[in-house]
Amino acid sequence: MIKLTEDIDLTGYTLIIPSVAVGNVGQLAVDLFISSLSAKRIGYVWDSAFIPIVGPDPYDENSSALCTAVDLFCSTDKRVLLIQIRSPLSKKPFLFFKKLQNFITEKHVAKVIILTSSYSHEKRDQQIRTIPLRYIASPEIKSEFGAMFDSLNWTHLESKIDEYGRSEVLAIPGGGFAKNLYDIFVENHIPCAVLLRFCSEGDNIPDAMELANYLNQWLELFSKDASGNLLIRKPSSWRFLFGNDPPLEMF
Amino acid sequence: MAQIFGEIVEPESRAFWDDDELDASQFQYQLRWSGDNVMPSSIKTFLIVEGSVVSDFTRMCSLGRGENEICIIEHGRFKASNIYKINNDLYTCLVSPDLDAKHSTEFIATLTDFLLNAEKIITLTCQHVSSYKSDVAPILPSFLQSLSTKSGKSPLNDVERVKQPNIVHGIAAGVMSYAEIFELSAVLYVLYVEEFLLDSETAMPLVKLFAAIPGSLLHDPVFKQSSFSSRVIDLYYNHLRTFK
Repeated sequence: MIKLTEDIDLTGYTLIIPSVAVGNVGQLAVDLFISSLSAKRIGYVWDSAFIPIVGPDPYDENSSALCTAVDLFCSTDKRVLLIQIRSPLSKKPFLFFKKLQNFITEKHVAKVIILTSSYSHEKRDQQIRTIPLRYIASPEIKSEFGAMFDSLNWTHLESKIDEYGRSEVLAIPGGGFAKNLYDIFVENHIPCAVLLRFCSEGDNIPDAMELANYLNQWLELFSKDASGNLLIRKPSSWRFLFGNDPPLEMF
Repeated sequence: MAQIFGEIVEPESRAFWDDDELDASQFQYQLRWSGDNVMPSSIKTFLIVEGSVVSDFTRMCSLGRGENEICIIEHGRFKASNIYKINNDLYTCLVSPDLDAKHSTEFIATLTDFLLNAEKIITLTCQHVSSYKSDVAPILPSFLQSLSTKSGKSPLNDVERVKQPNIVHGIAAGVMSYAEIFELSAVLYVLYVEEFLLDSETAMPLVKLFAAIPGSLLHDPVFKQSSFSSRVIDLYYNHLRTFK
């Protein structure tokens, strides 16, 4: 179930959704957008595919709001709808995909961007020599923004030969549900793109920064200061991303 | 790490939960009523207790004085969860420790009628203090923190709110999420403990909580001495200081 707590006209909005993937890069990038755009929570998703979690507001220490496993945020200024996923999947999220597809159609959302990551150890020779960011786009997105992607020197994800050696396929190893969701949207003529970064597990904040910046080249969501630097604000809840400081007693 | 020369070891990812076992089938729990019991039309307080430490405390200190087990939630071959009518004001659900977290949403779906009929929902869970993230290391061996939905009001006034980036997971978190989404009055309490064995000191936050829950019957708890307690170590160090 997707429940909106506010009645907002989402016609023409861009939906950004992360895929739970290696290094949680898509989720971290969405956190950067929510925090930097001061996006407002406008709803929740209740679905059995996600392990339930609850906690205080991750973006405002003084807020009494709760965060759940899957929340919806909105920036009316930028006309962007963001879905943040905070827990791993426990089941194949087919029902969630269906709900999301219906929601997008009912609310007349213009396009969907899926942010994900892929195992860096799966990179092939041609991918090793270039920047570790790739995109896939549906025909509708390609026709509207293809020239822009070319001017930004973006690289389309390279296809590879399938395991039987018969045909070329697009695959995102370690990319979670990104490719499945993309295929469903393409099949249903929902304009959709996947943006991904190759990475490994570790401190994935720099990867998230790069992925967010990659999307920003297209949508120009982040504001800039007087010197032209992007104003990217990390959420306050990132403070203990790698646990507490070591106890002083150990030194 | 490779065990033999040339072995390819795929790096693991923290992002996935049983990636190979993601189960597409829908799972359902069975609610089995005991005797003539039926779904109560209204419940003042519905208490859901999850985790061995707090469940054992509830069983020992709040149950066992004429309460009525009204139904069980069967988990197949695993231990069932039980729902008790403590009195007309309070119903308590003890969640089975065998419950698989990946079926949390289905478990909560089984409890839906209880949740919707309850004026007030209280969930209680327990986490080890090592999972607590804070600038300041906790001094107390056990302490409670809480979270409330918009309409939820804590019966205890002096309990701190859970601070970011701490989160709670499991059935207690699922019930809170459900209550927030469906605008129900709910409060979650999480007991952070140094060790998963309560004594008269570490149980004190629970004693205060149960005393504040309307309709809750609190017996005199009897605590068994822990075989390895942090306070035993403290005592040992105090002795050492005395001898120096």
